[in-house]
Amino acid sequence: MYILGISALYHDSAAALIKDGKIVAAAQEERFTRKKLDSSIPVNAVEYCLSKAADNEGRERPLTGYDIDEVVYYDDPVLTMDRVIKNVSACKNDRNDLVNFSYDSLFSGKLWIEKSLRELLGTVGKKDRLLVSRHHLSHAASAFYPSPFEEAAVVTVDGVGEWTTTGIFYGRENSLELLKKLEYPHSLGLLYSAFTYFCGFRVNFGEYKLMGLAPYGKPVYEKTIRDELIDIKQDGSFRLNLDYFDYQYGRTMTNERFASLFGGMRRKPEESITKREMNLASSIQKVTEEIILRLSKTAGEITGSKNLCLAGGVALNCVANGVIAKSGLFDSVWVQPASGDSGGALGAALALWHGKYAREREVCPDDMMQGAFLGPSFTKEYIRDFLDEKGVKYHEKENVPESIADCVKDQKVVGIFNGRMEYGPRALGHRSIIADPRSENMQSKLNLSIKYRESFRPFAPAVMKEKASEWFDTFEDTLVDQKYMLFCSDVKERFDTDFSPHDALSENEDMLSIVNRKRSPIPAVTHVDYSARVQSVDEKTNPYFYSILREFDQKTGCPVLINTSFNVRGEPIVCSPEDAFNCFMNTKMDVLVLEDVMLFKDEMPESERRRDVYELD
Amino acid sequence: MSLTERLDWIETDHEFDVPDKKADSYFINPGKNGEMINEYHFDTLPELKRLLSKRLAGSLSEKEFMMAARETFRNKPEYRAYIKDSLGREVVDFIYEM
Repeated sequence: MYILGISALYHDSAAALIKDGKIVAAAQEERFTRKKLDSSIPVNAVEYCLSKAADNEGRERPLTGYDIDEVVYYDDPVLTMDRVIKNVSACKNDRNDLVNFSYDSLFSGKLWIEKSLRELLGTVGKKDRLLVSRHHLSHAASAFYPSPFEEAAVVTVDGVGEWTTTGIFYGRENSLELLKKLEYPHSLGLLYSAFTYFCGFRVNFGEYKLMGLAPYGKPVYEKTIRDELIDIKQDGSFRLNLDYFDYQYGRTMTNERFASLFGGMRRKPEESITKREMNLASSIQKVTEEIILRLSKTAGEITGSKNLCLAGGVALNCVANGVIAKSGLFDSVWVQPASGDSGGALGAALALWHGKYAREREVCPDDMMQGAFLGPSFTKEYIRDFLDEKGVKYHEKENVPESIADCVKDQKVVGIFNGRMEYGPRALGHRSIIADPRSENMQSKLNLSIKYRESFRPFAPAVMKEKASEWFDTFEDTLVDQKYMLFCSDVKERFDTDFSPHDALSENEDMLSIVNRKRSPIPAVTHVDYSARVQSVDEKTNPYFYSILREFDQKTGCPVLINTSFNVRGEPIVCSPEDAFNCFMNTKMDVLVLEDVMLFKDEMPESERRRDVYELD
Repeated sequence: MSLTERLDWIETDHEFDVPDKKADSYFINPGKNGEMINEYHFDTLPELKRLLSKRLAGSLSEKEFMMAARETFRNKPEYRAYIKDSLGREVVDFIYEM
């Protein structure tokens, strides 16, 4: 039985196809359309999923809607409409912008989702009917069903889905039951987004920047947040003081009262980041960690489970995830790598298969996500034809991983493109840019010359799994598989630990001086608080990337590489060889590896090079 | 939790100091969840779309829009049934009570 899951029309659209409960394919629409967080109907992602299924079956033509048994959407638009209408009414004003916003966000597309999918597929599955899953059930299902656990507590936290903002579920075998919830407008995701907005970053886009900024500051506003903005109960439930927020009225997140509370107007995106933003980031991060920790503790207590699964946009907060893992509250923690709305497509499909159809669940010790490598791949022949058509020079190497390791050792920045594309926001070695983490200035070089993004933002380390504990603190009491880069832990060997980035920075000072300090033997992946968003790479799940790490280790004694997503600021991660080539040519990247062929920038024709063509976020 | 309690943030005009602040928890026990996966039966609601367009054009006041929307829902028994089936309670009553 084929089930097609769809996430669309909010943010980060995606499609996922399962066959008899096993994942065939999953991908985000943004990768195909090249629009970051594209929220449109995922026409291309659906087409890819149907083509992949046809390939697997040896069919010449892609599957169609008539071959799909069920189609399920990850959210219930009617319940969302219910909330939107009540919100309009509750705000008790006559502001057209709110009605406009409600109209734009809901009535222009979401309610007509069935019609849109019928137009796309010809028929909405064999029964020509659309099923809709509750938003937080989709998240919970995306976390529990693929997890390596027979049973688990499941916590879902995001901005809002229909009415729900937070859910606690219990999963056992193929059942998944909602036990507790919090509802709109009381939302941890919206609270975090309010601070994202106030600090001058884009909502639903810059939350991870705020998280990266937090270690530069001190939590001096934590008490203010607790006293004025949020009442947090011991069990992690909370209520926001809506007097400070504006999201219920329209597009803006915070109001003038919020600004007065934190010393003036919000930072405009083009303005310098000051200590205030650093301290705000630090403060809201600390509050967020505490809420997530309390929610998780409550989930453990009411379910009696020692396993925890997390999903929802807030579960991408790897610092908070690390706090849970360090707490020792659980024996094991697993986070869905596509925790945001894109993962809802997969979750909805799995919820239908295991929930409504009550099909048995097979538990895999390594999880069912196949390393999150669920997207398209391209043959070597395709790549050679593309490069031949371009007329550019390339090299075929016998031992590509060794050649890559040599380049990285020589301080080259290398784009690697291999196998199936990742599902979810993290590049895990199939669509990655890699570099030497031992270099003091590599973080700023990569940020400013390759990725065109803010200098303060840290990079993640990828490390050979069996050597991870030599370089990073591990979670002593909790089993955590870090292959999806979703948990922060500390670098083991630290230099100059008395140094405080907060104290060292004068007002309005650029943070480059702090970024370029040698904080550890691997400074380029050591954040200013000595934390790192570790990806542990195992040979079984990720053999190609593992072989590069092994070669680099043999040459340098360092089993760690910088791993950052293969894209530039404002652009989605590359999907095709064409995307990878364009990104390579438009940046100062030194080497591009497309499967088994290597391209060197100094051999590329000047006519192919373009600069600064990317929109900044 | 009753519909009134559920919407207390509306009825208290966004006051923070709601009655249940003294309680140990803000969690809502979902109770009878109803079906968490449903067949979608909402392909057309042209009346509502038309009303919204008029509201946007300024030819309906907020109150007129909501009153008209209420009539629309009243004449859509399948919508009522869907909501009731989906939530296990008639939250749409809120709209009737406005």
